[in-house]
Amino acid sequence: MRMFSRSKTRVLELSLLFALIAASSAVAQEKPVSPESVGSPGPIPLLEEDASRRLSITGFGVGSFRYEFATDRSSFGDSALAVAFSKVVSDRLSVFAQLTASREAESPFLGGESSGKIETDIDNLQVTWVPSAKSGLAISFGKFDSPLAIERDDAPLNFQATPSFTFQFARPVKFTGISVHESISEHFELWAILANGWDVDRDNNRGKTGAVYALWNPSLSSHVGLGVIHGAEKDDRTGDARTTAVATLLFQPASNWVFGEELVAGREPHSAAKGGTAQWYSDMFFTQHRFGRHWAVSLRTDYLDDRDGLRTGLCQILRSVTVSPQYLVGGGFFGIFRYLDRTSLRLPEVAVRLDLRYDRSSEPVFRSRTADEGRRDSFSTTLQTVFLF
Amino acid sequence: MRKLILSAVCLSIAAAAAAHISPNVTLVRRGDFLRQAFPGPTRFSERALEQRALGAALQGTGWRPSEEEARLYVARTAEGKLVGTAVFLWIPSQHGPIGIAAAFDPDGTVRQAAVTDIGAEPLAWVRPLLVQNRLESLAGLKPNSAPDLDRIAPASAGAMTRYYAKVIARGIRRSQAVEKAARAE
Repeated sequence: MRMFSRSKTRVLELSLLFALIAASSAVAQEKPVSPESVGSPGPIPLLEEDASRRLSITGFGVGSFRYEFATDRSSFGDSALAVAFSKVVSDRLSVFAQLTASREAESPFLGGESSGKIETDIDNLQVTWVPSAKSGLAISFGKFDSPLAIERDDAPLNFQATPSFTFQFARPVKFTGISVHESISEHFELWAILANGWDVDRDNNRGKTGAVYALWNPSLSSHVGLGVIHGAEKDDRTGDARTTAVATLLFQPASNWVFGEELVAGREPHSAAKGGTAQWYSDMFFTQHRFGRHWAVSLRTDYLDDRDGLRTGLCQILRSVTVSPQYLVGGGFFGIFRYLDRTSLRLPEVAVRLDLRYDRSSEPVFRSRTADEGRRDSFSTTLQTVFLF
Repeated sequence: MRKLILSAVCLSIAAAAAAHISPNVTLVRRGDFLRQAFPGPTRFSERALEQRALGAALQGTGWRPSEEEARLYVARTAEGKLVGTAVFLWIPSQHGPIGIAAAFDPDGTVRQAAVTDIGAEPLAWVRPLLVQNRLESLAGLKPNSAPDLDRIAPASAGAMTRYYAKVIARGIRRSQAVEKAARAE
């Protein structure tokens, strides 16, 4: 009886001990916080108290190192620093402006010596008005990114460190003018743009360039776009309108995998190197896969057929393959939280990308070790660090 | 010819460094949401998301939140008694991610819900829901009940407002799943 009583007491003691251990481990999972620490640093409050109307100041910086195997040339670079201001003025009106200082990068092309000077530009300046919350209509005035694209001029918003030939030569990057954007539903969006021209801040002729673009989003992970840009682009001339068709595809089959494509076809009368209508065709395909929280790899193939030499200055076919392993840090719950455009891939606060790039042309346009002697191919590496603030 | 190539490349490279990352607009600070949802002398703790319990609660949803996407906070009295939990999460939409907050009673009933962060563009479509306090209709929602879309956005609302009501409802469902997983631990 005494033995039973003693063992019963021991069992009780053990049970209590296990309960205490279990309780302490449960408490250990909880980390005390104060409500003040739960908020994000967020936008910088100025002038007023309404949280949604605060002026927000954000930005990013880009540093890089580039090495060309063919020429044995290398250089570190403080590539860019951008500061952006954003403010919701009222329920219907918002403004966004961005100033970017960027250093001219080294060109891989023969004769493409760069001064390496810093240039500062108003990169975005947009006033956006939403006439009614009942419609999906938004009208923007100013300088903005071309929506007919996947690859952006925003280093943090891209999947690789170096731009594709499609991005560089085949289609415009920016428009200065008016954009009318109608989100008809979550599945269908339309844009109509009236602008100065291709990447033209101050109009170079009396004509205007128009663009229309339709984007079909069957789901959050599928986007198919088709658009046309048409207008005069020559200095002081309104004839020979340039017409460019752009198709964009973007798919995200899994939370850590994205692939997409840009297809471009363009023509401009009386602009071919040998006379007649100049035409060019371009195709850029990319894919990015993320491995865990920190690692990613991108692959890009790129093709530009500048058959009449209008876009690059020489009749040639440019091809490129780029593999880019990447290390990503942050971009998490607090602070800046954005996804890469139309994907659910988080925008890292710091990204270190290593582009291993092989370019090839049908003509000897790339620099070699001998001055004035071109090569048909070029292999380069670019290490890029992008950080957001 | 070379001049043309050079100018084209220089133009594009200068542009290649530019950017447009529209920041999110903070509507409600998360700390303020916690204080409103759990007034009084409450102590808050952050609780790690237990992946195994989450996996069970989220089975079939195709969503596995990382700690970058969802956070769970526990509210207790000074004596350690559970007052409730709060879930903060980001949910994707066609026009950028939006931040959702949901506070729960200890039995999993929704106590309060809010949109904490949203992009400037969709704000115009979500604002009518906030001005009309439509999210108040979510208070009292039982653990296994889905939010009623018509109570968040009336049928007369615009297509994009209805769409964002759907996104918010999806965010609340995900919050409920995270809270349920926390209760199951």
